[in-house]
Amino acid sequence: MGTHRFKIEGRDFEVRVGTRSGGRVDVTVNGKGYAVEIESAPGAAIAATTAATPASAPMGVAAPAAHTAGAGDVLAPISGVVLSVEAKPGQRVEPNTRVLVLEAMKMENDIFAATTGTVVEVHVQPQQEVREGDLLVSITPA
Amino acid sequence: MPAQEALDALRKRHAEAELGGGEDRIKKQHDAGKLTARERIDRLLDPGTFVELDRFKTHRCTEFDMADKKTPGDGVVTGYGKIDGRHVVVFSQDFTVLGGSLGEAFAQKVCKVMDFAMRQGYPVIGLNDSGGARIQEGVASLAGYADIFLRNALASGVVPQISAIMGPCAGGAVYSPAMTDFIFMVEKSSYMFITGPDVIKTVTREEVTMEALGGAITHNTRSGVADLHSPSDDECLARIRELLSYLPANNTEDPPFVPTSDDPERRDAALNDVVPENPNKPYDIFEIIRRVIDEGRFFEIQPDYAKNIVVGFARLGGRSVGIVANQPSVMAGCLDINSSIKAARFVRFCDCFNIPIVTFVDVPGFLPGTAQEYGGIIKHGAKLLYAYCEATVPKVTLITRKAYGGAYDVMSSKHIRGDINLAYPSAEIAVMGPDGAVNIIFRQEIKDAGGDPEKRAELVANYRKAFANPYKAAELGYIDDVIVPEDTRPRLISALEMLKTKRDTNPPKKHGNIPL
Repeated sequence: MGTHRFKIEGRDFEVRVGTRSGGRVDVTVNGKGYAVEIESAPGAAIAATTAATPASAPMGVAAPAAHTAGAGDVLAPISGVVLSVEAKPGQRVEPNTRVLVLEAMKMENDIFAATTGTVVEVHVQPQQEVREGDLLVSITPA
Repeated sequence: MPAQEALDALRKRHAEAELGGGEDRIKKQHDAGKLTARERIDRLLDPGTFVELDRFKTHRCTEFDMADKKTPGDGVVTGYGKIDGRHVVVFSQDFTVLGGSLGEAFAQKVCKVMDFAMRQGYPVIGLNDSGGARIQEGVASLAGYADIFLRNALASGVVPQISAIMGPCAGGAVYSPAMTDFIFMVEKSSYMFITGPDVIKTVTREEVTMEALGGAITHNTRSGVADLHSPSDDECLARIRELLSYLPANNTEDPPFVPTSDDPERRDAALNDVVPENPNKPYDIFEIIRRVIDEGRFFEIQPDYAKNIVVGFARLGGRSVGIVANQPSVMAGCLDINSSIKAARFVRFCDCFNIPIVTFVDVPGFLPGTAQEYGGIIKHGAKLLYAYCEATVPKVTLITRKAYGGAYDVMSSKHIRGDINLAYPSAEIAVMGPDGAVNIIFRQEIKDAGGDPEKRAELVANYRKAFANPYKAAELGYIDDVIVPEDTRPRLISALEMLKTKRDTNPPKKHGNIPL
């Protein structure tokens, strides 16, 4: 799902986060594997559990950070490249407001807000490659 | 006993049976926003047509003080009646009696009416609202379920079977609706799952609510188990009536013909402009479908699941048809696992019940990626291909824009016994799109030109001109005609009229082995 690099107290850490299933994620830190359970609240501290077997395949390149999808969030329905972004933070949207255009399968795919609310943040920019399921736009439904 | 006394006793018994689990429980049902079993039947069927059977039947269990807990009808209301003047058979589970739990007598009542349905050729409508197996009756309850399951399987393809989930439906009980043709769910008051949140918590430590696990929205958007959802019991029952109007009573009949004032010769110039000139721009396939079908009325199945393909019922010139259409505005109209399965089941249902299939094609291919491959797109895509190949009902296909690669074959092509295959001038029928094709065919030329983008653009334009059109396919007779879009409705209706008497067969066999 993403590769992240940290420098903590002078030491370099390369963290690769795998795909989530249920409340668990496979994570490798500098090549060593861990099975991690995620607490229910989004963004809460992650408690590491016992080391699991090292993750086999290399994870994908850095993508929008792993995120628990909120009610109004717009996720990529298909992998592709962002062609244009039409939403702005603070913008009021309706379900059929187009927020961005995604190029996939050689076609322009209109991506809609799908909810009534206010745009909180746009996480992608034109030319950016996204994977199916990646968070594109955060919207607070209201 | 004097005649009057006997009559009074009978009326008393009737009144008792009609109360089910009693006034208090009826009130509880209403407070939960739910109708009672009998109210549902009254609203489902044409007024005054319901004839109840087995209203006095009770269980004969004596374990656990059950002898004191006998209710006439044993928790399910069964019988026959009419919808739009046509006979149907119905069972309605009564949550007010022992939680609607199923025991031996309950199951026997359901089996009796299902047997009628199969012999008489009437659709079966099951209204589910049950806590599950009646534990006190032990294995007899499981046997009761199995007796019903067997009949679901035997009736499959013989008479339409429709399930409404109007309350809990858990554990083994879900298997009966699962085998029926269509599942309707009522929002917020119904749920289906094999094991509930409590057991899940102890086994996998996941925490999930009943609604999130198996409510109407979950099954209509995530799992694809259900076909429709409605905000209330009333709406759900109204939609069942509507669905039935498109279907024959059984597999030996044709679907009902509903005369329409919508002119079969109606041409619509707006259709000429629906497909954008730029092949990369999306459009909504409903802009074409709605303009073409009778009165624009479409009964969509699974509208909220696998939206990259649209399936549902409509009429053309008064005749029921099943419509399958790629949706270019969702995921570029690609075929993937979920859309392949959604469409395959629909195609096979239409084939069971003599409903012609009209397919609108605009598909750039199958969705690539490891998720699809590891998920078995090979097998699931093959389901749709198999379904179209096997179907012997009239099949009319219209390619509006793209039809590339294997997806061209799959979407009701001429080669798999499409009867009439038409295309718009905007159709692009080829092995692959220009960009991909040029990279392969002209790999050397592009290399020699040093990857010059202008040279590449020229090759793409030439390829587009030569291949991204319907004429190569038409020259080979794979397309019967290229039509002006505004003529779509008359062309489809004319084809269906001509195909009315189609007879086609498959080699004799017990049944095929569709990849599951």
